Amino acid sequence: MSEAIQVVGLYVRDQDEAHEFYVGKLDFRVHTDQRNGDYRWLTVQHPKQPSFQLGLFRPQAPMHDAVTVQALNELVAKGAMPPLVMAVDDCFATYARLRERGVEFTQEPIARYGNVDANFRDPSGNGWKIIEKGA
Amino acid sequence: MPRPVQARGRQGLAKSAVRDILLSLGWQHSAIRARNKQIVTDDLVLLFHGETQTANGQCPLLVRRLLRAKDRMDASSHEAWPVERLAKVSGVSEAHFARAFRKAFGIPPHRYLLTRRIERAKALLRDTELAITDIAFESGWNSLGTFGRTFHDVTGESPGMFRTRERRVAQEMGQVPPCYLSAAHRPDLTIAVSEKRRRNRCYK
Repeated sequence: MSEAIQVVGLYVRDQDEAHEFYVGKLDFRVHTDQRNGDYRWLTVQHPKQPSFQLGLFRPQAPMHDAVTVQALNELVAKGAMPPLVMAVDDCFATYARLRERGVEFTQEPIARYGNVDANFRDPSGNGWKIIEKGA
Repeated sequence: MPRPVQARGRQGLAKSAVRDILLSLGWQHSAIRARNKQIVTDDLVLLFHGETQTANGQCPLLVRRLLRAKDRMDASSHEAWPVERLAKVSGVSEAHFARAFRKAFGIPPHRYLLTRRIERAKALLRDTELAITDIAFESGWNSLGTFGRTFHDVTGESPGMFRTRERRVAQEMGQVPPCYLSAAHRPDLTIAVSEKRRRNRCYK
């Protein structure tokens, strides 16, 4: 497959913290972690999805001015960024495992419409939904 | 926004001194007790932010705390959420909470809660066979009368009318996750319900 979505980025408030969360708690793997001065290009991958990278980026100079950085950091903290959805095989099991690791769940697993879904947030405020289809 | 690095150097402050400063900034005793063992970097950053407000907005770390209160209302909108309970979730003082919440989310906390209750009531009316009285209690109202009146004030139709009309519409939205579908039915309450009621009366 040569044509596909390769990277989609999230804004995070702190890349060390995001690394610790996505790799340490969600079991993602680091794809690229390149620094250039204050700038850091950090992407991670779902262990079962090697063709896709999730970028963990910090709103920062020189791409953004200080006011924009502040605005973006606030928006992320408000949970105003778009929904993120992840498919899981067993929503209850994933919920139990992640909760044990201190992931902040905002909705416990609910069975509805033939699926089971639960919500959590990353430390920055990005909201994830995990869905088990056809449960 | 000050970097956490700057705050880390200050962690040697005596616990009692930190507590006094937090109290003077409007923190609650209980919130401080809960964190007493480890005054985390977040708290120190907030602390050295003074009013937790930057020149052009709110401190993102404070906003993240306020989001926690919003998330809790989302998860349990049928429960009672007095300001003291919400303030505790966010770890800020009651006096500070409502104003900070409104600044962050553009709506006072009690009115936000109302939008979530109406949204839930709408979902129950549409998707279940529950009696309207049961739906009133399930979505957080103490009486059927208050529920019916508020629902009408907000949506412009009674719960029964809404149910009948919705059921006539075929639901062809299976590909969209249900919570986002449901969110589309959340009322956009830019004015107080009492004001909305007053205006509706004027037009009648």
